[in-house]
Amino acid sequence: MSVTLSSRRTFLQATVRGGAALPLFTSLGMAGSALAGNVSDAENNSLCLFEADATMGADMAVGVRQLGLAYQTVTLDDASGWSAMLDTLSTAHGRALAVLGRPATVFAVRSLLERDWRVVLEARHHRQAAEQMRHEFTGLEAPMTQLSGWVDRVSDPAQYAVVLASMKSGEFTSGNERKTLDLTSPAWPGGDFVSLLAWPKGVV
Amino acid sequence: MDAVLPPGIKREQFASLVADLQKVVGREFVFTDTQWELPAYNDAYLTTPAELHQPSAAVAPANVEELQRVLEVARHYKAPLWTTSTGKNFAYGGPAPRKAGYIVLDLKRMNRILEVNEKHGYAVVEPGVSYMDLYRHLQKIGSKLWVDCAAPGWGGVLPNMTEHGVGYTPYGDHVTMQCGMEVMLADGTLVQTGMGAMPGSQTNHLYKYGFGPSVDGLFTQSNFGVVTKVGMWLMPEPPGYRPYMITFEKESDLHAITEVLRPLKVNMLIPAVAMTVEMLWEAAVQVTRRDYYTGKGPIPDSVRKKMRSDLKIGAWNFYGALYGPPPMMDNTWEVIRDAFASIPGAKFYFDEDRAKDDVAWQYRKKLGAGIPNMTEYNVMNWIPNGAHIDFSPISPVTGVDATKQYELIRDRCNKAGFDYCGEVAVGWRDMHHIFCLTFDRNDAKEKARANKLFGDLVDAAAAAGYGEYRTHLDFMDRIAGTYNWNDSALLRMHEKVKDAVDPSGILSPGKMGIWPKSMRKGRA
Repeated sequence: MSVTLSSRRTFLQATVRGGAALPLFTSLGMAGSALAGNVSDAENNSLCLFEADATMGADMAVGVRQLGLAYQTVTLDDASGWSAMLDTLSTAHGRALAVLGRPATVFAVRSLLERDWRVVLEARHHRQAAEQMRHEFTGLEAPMTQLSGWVDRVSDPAQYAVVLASMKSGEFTSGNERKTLDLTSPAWPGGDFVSLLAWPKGVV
Repeated sequence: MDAVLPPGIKREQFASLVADLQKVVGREFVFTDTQWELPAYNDAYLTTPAELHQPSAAVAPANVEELQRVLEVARHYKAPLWTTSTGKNFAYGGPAPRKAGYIVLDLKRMNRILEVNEKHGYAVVEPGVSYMDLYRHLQKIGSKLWVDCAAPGWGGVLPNMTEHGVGYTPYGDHVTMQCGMEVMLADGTLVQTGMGAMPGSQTNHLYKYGFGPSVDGLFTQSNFGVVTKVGMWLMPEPPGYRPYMITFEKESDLHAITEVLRPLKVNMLIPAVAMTVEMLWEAAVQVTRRDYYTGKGPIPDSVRKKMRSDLKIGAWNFYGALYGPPPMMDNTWEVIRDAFASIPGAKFYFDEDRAKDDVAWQYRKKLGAGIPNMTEYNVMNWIPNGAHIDFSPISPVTGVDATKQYELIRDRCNKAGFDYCGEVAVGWRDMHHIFCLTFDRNDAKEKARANKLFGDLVDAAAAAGYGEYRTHLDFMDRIAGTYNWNDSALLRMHEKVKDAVDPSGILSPGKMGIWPKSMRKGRA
């Protein structure tokens, strides 16, 4: 695989687009040393809040951490897990957030964000037919455009999550007009998901 | 969404009003941006157009001093405020105001836990303290006091109580467990109720009634003031806790369950709010409808049977818990078990009998011990874009009433094309029936059907003598209208109180059907 590591995002997108590194995390493990130089940069920009769900891929946390992105499990079921998320959010000011989970969970997380973050992109990912996933995006055009190029190549929520998390807020100049976009991809394992991309207040 | 103005206020006045609010709380805590800020005050679960409940602004004071000045600004402009605390009152309107143009008075920043009294077993909290916040604090300080939380646990301790919410431990009747209240009236006067009215009182949070009329209840489900602080009694950790579950095979068992339950509750052998949960509620916290059925309309019986088998649940599922020293729990259990064993097919479970990954059991077990969690929110995963409004009538604890009310709701619900998803909660002498009317919030036709069904249920319940204990914004007037004995004497008394304590009519106009004089129409 030939990848130009001009930024973590281009690396990730190239990795997913190329489809040459599936399963994704094995590939990322191989590329770990190359990524190390960008770790602090990424940690300053992205925090991943992902629901711990078996259908999302057991290795997701490991994979995301290998990318140098801060990771926090989101759960509705456990007071200590919820507390940990609240603690993480309280110290995450200024970071971009990528959130992925089941609909009710993401709705709950979203309602905690309004003071310090702006949700610039929300997507509903649901199975349209046995072999097809539908992705309904609502949000700002810039991040939507970035995502639209590779969604059809993503084969599971874990891959999607990693690329979503790489969408750093500083890389976009955005207008404030909201758009919608519907895309399809091969079906993901598991049920319906919702994702959010939130940028710190002040960026938009 | 376009910006809206408070009723009766012109654009230039509004600009001046916002500037005045900014002087009080700072620019950072006055919200007017319709794209990025005000959507946080929408109700995502509306069955009516969002425009009907769109705020013009929101303001978030940090303390009573700022609150006092916010009220002064509101009085000056005669601007209606809509009080919200943690803003999680979903199913009943969330943080959204009763009418478009109101300014949301957001008390989330007033979130101090002012006192935890281990010896006497209480805490004093401000409006923005959630159950999760209080639980975390008690854990941090090593307290042996329990929280009694709502499900989900992100709700506020104070606002859940003022909305007459209930929890799941023996301290589950939150209004009963409230002791001592601080309220700011519309004119800015700060009032301490009960024993707190006496300077230097040592019993503000120990004796509820003080001297003279007890007024705390006037500030629950009301718009007569802004509650800024309450004392809540907290349950000391008992020497033993043993939750149990009893499943029942038949839908028709609800009658017998209720008859068996009543004497156990009245005699306090079941000390906590007793929950009898219908199977779909149990299923919805752990699976989706599509996992079992992709057809339209209510789920057929054959599918329901398979769900019960897969999930090891009954048609009805009773949750209770034993509290106390083990010998006491053993004795009490014998009585409870023998009573429910009279119902054919009843199966009994303790923790060791349920799987570790049994989502429904695990979260009920936590709730019974006051451990907040959000698991119940999973009900919103039941259908795509899940949303809900809750229909919650009260009835006597009798088998006849339970069955009558259940059938009244189920039949109308099924006819309208919805699944029945509900539970009944038995308190001291009453039964709350909570019907979680779940709909697709992106489907306009389904929302309209849900709205119509809800209205039909209000009317049908009232005709049968059942009144709701709480409701969504859109139905406050309609339900207030059913409490109309003696030419609506109670509502007219509420209005007299409203006019006396809030003559400018700035506090939450329309809350529970109580309107200030200036906005009252068609009533003498």
